Amino acid sequence: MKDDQLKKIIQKSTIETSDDFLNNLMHTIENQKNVKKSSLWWSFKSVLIACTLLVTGITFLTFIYLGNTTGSISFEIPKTPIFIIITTLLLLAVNHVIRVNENYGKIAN
Amino acid sequence: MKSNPLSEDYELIRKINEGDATAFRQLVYKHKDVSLSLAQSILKDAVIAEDVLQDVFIKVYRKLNTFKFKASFSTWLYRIVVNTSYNELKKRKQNISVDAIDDTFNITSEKKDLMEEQDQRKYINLALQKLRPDEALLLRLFYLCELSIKEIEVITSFKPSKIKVDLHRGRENIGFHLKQLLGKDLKQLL
Repeated sequence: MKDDQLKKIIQKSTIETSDDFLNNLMHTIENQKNVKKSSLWWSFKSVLIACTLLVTGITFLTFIYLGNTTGSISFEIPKTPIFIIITTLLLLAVNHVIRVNENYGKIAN
Repeated sequence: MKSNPLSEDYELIRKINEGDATAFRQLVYKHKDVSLSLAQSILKDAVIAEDVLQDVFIKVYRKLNTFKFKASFSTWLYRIVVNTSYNELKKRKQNISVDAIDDTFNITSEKKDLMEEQDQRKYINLALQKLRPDEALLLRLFYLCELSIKEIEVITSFKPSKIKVDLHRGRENIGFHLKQLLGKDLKQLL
């Protein structure tokens, strides 16, 4: 078979995509964009919750400490357990943020 | 006057990078059929090829901001199509048997007399399906996309010697399969 004949034949071989290919594709892309937006929102929310807990804890401790120095409240501060609780909460929040980002990465890929 | 397809693509890419979603739609519309044909050459299954093509265009959308306006967009796109299709083929470990391909598309005497364009396409694709993935891909890149050996080398990462040998084999094999399928009616394709 001659080269130009083969060219003519192969050029007839183009396959067309299904009718809804383009719409499905655009829909998938839009969905992925929304997942990204919501994952960022949830990351922000997690950090917000962790910070609120942290600030509440610190405020509570400060209040007790100040109260103790004035002598009005005689209370032994359980420093180590409170430190452990706050650190654990913070680590959990950070872990959640990382997990959400990883999940988004998997979906995006 | 016909506009330059290269600058047309560049213009669309610039618009997409500025956030124009309809420009991406236009870009996909322009390249989807040839891209699907290339994926089909490798995967030999229209449904899988279309799924792969979806992934390809999603990748393209995400990576379009990294596209350098030095090379043609189609070369960049075809490289992604070829790589993704070969990865999918490896993943599925699909040893496609040429005997398993449906060749029960019978030619009735009516069709022999007047083979419509759609039928012609079906026969040609049937013959292409019987070729090895590399051969079918190279034939399409060379004759359908009208690319040079150098450009094909960039897209496939095959050595020029392999490209030439596989193209030669592909030419012979497709001629053989078309003759088997159509007999004397092969002339209608020419």
